[in-house]
Amino acid sequence: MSLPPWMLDRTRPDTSSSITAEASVPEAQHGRGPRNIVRRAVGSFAKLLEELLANDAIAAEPGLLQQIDPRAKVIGLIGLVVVTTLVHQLTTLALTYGLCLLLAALSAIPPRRILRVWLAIPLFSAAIMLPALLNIVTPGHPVLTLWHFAAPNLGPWRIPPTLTITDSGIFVALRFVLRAAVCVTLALLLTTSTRTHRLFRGLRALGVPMLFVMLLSMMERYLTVFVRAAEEIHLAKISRSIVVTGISREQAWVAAGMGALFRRTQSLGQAVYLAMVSRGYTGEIYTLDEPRWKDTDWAFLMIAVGFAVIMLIVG
Amino acid sequence: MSVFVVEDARFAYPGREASVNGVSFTVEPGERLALLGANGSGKSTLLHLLDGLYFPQAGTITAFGQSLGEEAIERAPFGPQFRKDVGFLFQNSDAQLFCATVEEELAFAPLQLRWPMAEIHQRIDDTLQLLEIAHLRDRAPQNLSGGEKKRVALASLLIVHPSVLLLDEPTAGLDPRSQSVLLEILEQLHQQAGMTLITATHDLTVLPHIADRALVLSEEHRLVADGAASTILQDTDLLLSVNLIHAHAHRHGETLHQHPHLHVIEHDHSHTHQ
Repeated sequence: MSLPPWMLDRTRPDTSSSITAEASVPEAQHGRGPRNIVRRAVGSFAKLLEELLANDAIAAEPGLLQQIDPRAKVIGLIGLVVVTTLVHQLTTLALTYGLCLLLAALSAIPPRRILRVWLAIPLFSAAIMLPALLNIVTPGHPVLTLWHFAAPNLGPWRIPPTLTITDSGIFVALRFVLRAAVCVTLALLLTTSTRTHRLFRGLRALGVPMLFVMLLSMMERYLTVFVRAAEEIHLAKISRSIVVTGISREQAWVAAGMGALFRRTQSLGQAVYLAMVSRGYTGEIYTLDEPRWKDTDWAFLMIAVGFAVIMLIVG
Repeated sequence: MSVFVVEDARFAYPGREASVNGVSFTVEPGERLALLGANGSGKSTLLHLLDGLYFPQAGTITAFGQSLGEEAIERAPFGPQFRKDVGFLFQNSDAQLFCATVEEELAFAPLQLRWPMAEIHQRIDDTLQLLEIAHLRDRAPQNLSGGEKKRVALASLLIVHPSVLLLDEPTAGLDPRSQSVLLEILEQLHQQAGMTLITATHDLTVLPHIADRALVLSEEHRLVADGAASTILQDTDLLLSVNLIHAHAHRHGETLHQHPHLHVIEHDHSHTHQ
């Protein structure tokens, strides 16, 4: 083997190429921009994986909810979510939220995990609830006047002379936000205190078909494989990116990367199927018998049902 | 009765040239056999054919005295019995470990065989202990190391006590300790349980540990040698011709020497002063 002449040149840095200072900024150091959408997307997926792993670590803690059978938890906590949507009293909702915090504390779920819902809820509920505060949507006693209209008639339509925030509007908004907080927190308690595969198995208690549960389970199993593959493809691309390329080249690369990932998905999918057939799979799905419910599981379910009944009575 | 009789088998993936081209051989019970060949020589495809996952387009394969055809393998009792008797360790453990936990992974084959639950649980306990992976029972396969995944994959096969194991590059990608543990387990399975082991590999360094007999596939996907593993290992011309070893040159001071490169073979080589 003999090296070509250009490879024998030991001059460093190599000045033969046309790399300019501006063009050679590594992609990894870029700030914002459409080019970084892929990096952010891959980063988000990687973060999701970390969260799933962190969830598994919390689910392995010796807390109260972790001791309960997933089926009891799925029925009890999802039942409470349904009842929460029927409750009108702010005090009932506040008490239920307090119960959620107590359960989180007894289950060694970090408070920041639970309180993080308050970052998301105002964001999602604002768009719905801001109009509900106003007298044009929720009539009531004015609490704060925002605007006086000079001409209250708009063609054939008559609009109120003032735009005000009403006491009924504030009540409706508070109720909505509290309801959302309770529901999201209950869901969070369920997902963080239960390992994902047990959670899926718990869904069978709600009558979800076994085939669907198995598909969910395999999806979760291979999600990590493909997120890691996507991350590898992206990192390999960054490590070979020398100059900044145009958006159209980037788009072409993203499409090619997606294609490569799809091919891997297809080939792994086929290999998984063959591995299943090799171990006797003929289309029927059988699972290990579910463990029997313990007294604590029944007790948890009874308490959840009792609390739900009280919530419904109080309203 | 022979475990496998392969006669003039030919298989090609759609739109491609033959991956297995007119291959014939017989495997007897309790044999330790290696399928040797360079990358792309058709070793893995041949294992898929032996496991009844692919079927030859020409020629025949019989397993335990019965034709291994698409219809035969779907018919009871031969199909389920064959699946129980022949275990296939895939090269890619991520393909093989498709369940949510190690325990479910081990339970998969016994559940397909509709064994009683008590027996399944007992077998899971025994197999986990045998492979020293009881601590992994509740773990998700995706969170295991390469060596752990390989052991779990092997456990998922051993739980139904197969008489034949097909192993596709079993040591590929394993660190030295995991590799040595796996080879030790395979040795025990052969010595103590009399299992038939058929291993596809291009790693000649593990050959003495996994096989007494070797079949060599050429890059043209044909069987070019069938003999004792120790004899095959000494045949440097054969190994060079099928790309399992390569001519290698390096310097010792002023001395340049060139020889077929494989560290498990004792060989003569000449030195040239330059």
